[in-house]
Amino acid sequence: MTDISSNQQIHLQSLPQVEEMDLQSLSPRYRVLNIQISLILWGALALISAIVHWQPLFELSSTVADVSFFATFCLIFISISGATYHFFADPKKQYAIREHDVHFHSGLFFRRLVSQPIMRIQHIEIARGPIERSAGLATLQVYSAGGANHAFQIPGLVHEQAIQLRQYILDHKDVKENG
Amino acid sequence: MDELNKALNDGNELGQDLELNSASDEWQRLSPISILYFTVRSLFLIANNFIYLVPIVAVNFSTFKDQPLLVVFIVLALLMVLALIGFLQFLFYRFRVQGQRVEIKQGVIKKSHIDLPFERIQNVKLEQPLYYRFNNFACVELDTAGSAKQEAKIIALKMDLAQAFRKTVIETNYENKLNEEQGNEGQVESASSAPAVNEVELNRRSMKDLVIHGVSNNRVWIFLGALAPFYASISDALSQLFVSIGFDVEAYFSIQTLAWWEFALHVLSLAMLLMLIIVLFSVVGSILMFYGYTLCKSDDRYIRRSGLLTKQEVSMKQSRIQLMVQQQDWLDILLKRVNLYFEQNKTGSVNQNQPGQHLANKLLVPSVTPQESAELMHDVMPEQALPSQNFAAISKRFILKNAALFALPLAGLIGATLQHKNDWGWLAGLGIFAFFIAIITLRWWRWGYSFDSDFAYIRKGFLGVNYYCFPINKVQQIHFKQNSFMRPYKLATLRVVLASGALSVPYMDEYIVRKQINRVLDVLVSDKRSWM
Repeated sequence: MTDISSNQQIHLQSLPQVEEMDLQSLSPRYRVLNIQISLILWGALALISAIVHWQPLFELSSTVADVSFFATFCLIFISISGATYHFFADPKKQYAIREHDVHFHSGLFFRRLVSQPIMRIQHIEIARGPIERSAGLATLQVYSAGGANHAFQIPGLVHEQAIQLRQYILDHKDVKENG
Repeated sequence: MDELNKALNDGNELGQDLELNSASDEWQRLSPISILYFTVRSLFLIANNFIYLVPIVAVNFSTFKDQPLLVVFIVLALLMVLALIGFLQFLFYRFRVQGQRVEIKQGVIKKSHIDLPFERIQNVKLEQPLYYRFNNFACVELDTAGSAKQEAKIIALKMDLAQAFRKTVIETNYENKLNEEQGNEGQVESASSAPAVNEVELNRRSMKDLVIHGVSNNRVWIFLGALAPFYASISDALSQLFVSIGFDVEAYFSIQTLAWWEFALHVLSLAMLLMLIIVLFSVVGSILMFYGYTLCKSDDRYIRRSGLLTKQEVSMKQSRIQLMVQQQDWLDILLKRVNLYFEQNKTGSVNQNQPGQHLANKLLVPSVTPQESAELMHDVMPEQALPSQNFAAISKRFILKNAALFALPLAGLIGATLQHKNDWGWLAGLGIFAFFIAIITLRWWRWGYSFDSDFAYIRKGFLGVNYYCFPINKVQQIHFKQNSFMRPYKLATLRVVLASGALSVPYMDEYIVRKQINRVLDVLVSDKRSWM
């Protein structure tokens, strides 16, 4: 969170351009977690499908046998490609906080940089599902008048960091005045 | 408040049956006419939700025909139940206006209590259904700025009371704003010197304009929505009509007995006939919705009044307008007309799923001339200069990408399928490909963007053309997007989120996108004006 306090000293003219911002990485646990989910969840489904296909207990009808055979390989493919995708794509997810705006960069094939002026923020939420909680992670959700479809999100933050970030935004004078 | 109480008192002096006076801290009951409103509302609700019962009714039509008394009885019973529900709703409905806030208690089984401070009211909309016209009542709909899901409506007020109420809410908000701005220096203006609510008429639509609007814009849905419950009986009646006049539909469209040109002629004439009917209905829909259209300005508010059966009055605060859209379909271009939309905050409006309600966050000026449109736009945002913009084109790679990704595979597939049956299939495929390319090129040609010191302008369209214009300081969020196809050529998509929705321009120069994002963010650092 050092960037916040140091950023406050910077004059407007010398603010870095959006393309030159120093982007922060998400928690490394985020990538590990996503890869695990992909491998375990889809892997478990593949395993179930494989067990159905190869179990010796009873004879399967030819349709069920074909479907379960096909499904096993599809699920294995989804599991591995999902894990591979997260391995390469998650490090591309980065964020930056400047004095007056927050930014989130993402995308392996479709790159996207979302910039949210702090002045336009209406409310902030920290969302944590059970899996995120178990890993000590949190997602920061920021809403503007653009509506829920355009909620600004930073996933994979360490929980304390998300709380700090929320507090920084809440303490921002533009949010106090307009929010 | 004094204003309202005075108006309310005046109302009483006029011998109105509403017991609203200065002691309006008392909970008020509506006029009994509201029972009619509640009943009609539930009737519409049932009609909307039970459209899928129509086939059952149609199937059992003969049973009903044999026992007309039963039908009458059922209908009467239904109406009585609805009237009873309406009466209960009336009985449980209470409202009061007290110290700059409106409170509404309603609900028979599921009770609700709405407590709405004036400053949270974004719009006051007056609605006058046909059956309120005779004794001059109006339904006051309160649009809240928040994400209120429940509807705040004062179901029945006398028209002049409703207008006084609207005026009070608007003026209170205006005074509050003035006080905020000047309050600290002790220059608070007294309530009596509040701005005069002098309305200036900006635009009026004649019957001719509405007919043009109906022809060039498909307003059929207004009509189709109203007719939906009767589709089955209409088609039955039509087929019976054809039989009775001796018109054989099957013979008319029999491809076996007719020459191909005869068949084509028959299809064409049917299409023309259908088009004519649709256009007629569309014109009727346009007149239903926009009859007696006036756009007025009162201080910083725009007020739209229109409607043939149900008169509507929608007002929109100037500062809340996020985006102006000048829309022209190909027919509009031929007729030299423009539909002008002023769009405001989308999140606050309720009833989005009701027919026609998608216009709730928009103020439409139907089929004005380009000259009138330019004048109105200038009135809303005087600094914008849409007419004098030179739009920059997007990259031609837009054509290439769409050709490679959509046109080629699709045309290839169709061509290959036809080639399978016919030796000339590849020619058809080529023709289709050329057609797609023409469409994509037209689309590319319409895309354009331009920026000046305070505003951004976007042009897009296909056969028609739309112009979008918004002040940069109202941007809520801004995106830089780039896919693998764009990256090597330094192209990117700019996406801007406004409170009224998002706008994108694809295949712009990456450098320009970044420059504009930096500029917008810089503007928002120094320009602290509210977007509302």
